[in-house]
Amino acid sequence: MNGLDYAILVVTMIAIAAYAVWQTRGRSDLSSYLKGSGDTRWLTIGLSVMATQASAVTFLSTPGQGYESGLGFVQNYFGAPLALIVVAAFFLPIYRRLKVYTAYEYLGLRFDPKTRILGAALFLLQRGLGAGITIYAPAIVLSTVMGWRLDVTIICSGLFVVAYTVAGGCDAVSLTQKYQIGVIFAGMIAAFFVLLSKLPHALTFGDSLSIAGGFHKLEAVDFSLNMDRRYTLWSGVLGGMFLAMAYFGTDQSQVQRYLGGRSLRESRLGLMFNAVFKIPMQFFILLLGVLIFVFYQFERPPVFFNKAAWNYQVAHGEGARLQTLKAGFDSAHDDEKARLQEWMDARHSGNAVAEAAAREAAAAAHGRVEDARSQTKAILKAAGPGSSSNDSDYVFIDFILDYLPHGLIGLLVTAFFAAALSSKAGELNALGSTTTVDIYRHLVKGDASDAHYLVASKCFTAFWGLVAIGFALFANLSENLIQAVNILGSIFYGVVLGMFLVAFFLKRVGGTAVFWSALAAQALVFVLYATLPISYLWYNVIGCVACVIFSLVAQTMIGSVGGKGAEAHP
Amino acid sequence: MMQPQDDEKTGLPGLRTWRQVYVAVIVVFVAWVVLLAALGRAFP
Repeated sequence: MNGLDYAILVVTMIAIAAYAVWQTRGRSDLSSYLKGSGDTRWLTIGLSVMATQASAVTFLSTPGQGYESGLGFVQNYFGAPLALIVVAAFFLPIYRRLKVYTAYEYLGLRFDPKTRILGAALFLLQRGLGAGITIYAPAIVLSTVMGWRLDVTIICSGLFVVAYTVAGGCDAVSLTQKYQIGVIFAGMIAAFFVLLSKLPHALTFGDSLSIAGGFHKLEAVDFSLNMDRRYTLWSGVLGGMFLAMAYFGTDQSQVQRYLGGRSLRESRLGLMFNAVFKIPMQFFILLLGVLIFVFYQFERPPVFFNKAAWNYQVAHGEGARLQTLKAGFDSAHDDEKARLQEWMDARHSGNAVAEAAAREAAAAAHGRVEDARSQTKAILKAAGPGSSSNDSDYVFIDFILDYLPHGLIGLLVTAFFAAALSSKAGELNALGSTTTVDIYRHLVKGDASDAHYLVASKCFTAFWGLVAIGFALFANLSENLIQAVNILGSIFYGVVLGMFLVAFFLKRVGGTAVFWSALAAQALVFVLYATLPISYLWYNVIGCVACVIFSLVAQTMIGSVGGKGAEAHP
Repeated sequence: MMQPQDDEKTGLPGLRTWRQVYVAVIVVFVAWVVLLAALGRAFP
């Protein structure tokens, strides 16, 4: 990065945050701080919901997923449109009618205080940990490739987001997210067109798709019923729907985004905006990764995209083996490039027999390339910490730094930081609200003024920000980063969703039954996660179904309706 | 005929009830799944 790139990064980030805080100045009552001023329009809600979900991990890591595994990850989002319809039709009207600050407040009204606290505690636990990941994930990648100190990157970006979230509250978060997602889209679209311009001139878009398809990168929909496979149509629709329903309907970081809508209509349209555009957005980001894969078939890629880890091992004891593997990798890549050229020539001449033969030869050469990469990864895994063997998170940022012009590099790095801060701000805002409303006001100090709770909310938001920074400073993740976030969510979300579904649809079940059932279901999910080799998406279904069934059984055993406020819901 | 309340109006051209909006979203979703499946088959 040069001076221009740094200027774009610093000026854009500060300008957006300063504008949002200035616009929301003077809104100092508790309600507008926690829920917004109640005049938010559907586009702001829609973009805010999208920005909260799409963290920097989404934009840094997803192209790497596309590069490595193709489009299959898009199935993870197949449940989102259906889930958003359920949330818009059932969850949202109840939240708005009861004028709750948090989703867990509803559990208290419908069941009892202990169930409310359990829901809030599960949220705080998983989102508190997740908040650490959302700040760590972009920091580890960006600091590695930029040569920045990891701790300084985490602390600076963390304190910056804490500052404007604490200062401006919910409205400032929504406003910053609106402009931040604009920067993100601008950066991603610019990267897409630059990438297209970098592909060989003789290569048509159809040729690119043929090459991607030839290497199984376009297999977006897997109809297999095998539950071991991480992404299939069925795990995506069913597991993804439960995950998305829990996330959009019961996770305060999302509920808070649409509670402040000007009307039910505005909030619903904001959710429907996401229902329509979520899948195309993820497809576009994955396609970017697939096209980077095609690009690197004609341009020699690094043998390992985390160059810092590779260079370190070359300099510290594994140099000879790694250099030998790199030589083999380069040779295999040159051979693959020649075979691909023959494949494309045969394709353009319409010679189907020659095309099939060249394609087979290209696949064989690609196999040798991948073999060299796998051996390199194995050496790095054996020699270094676990995280250094996974380089897919570095694919996109390496491409940006190596092939994009200055100015655009600054825009893309700004986009990554914008994505990191926008999702982080939504999480902190929700963590602070939940701690204030469901824990502090409910358990510790119930008779204070709104001004007191406003100060408490700011303190708790800052507290969670510091916790996330602390977690990020000591984290060490070995999974692909975006999967780590989703796995963590899937372990907890199912049970929380089960509690809400019981609240909405099983009116005869009371608080005591659902409370103990939720604990039992969560224990079951922990045990199954440790023992069953199934896709993590299924834990959303298992946790939810277990919670609902256990609640019905427990209520039958208890024999009477418990809890209070059953009249508060339809 | 009763007028729908403000919250029940969608304000979208051609989609006057929320039920119609939800059906339209499902149609778009199914279209995406079909297109994605077709993409994989068009470039095997």
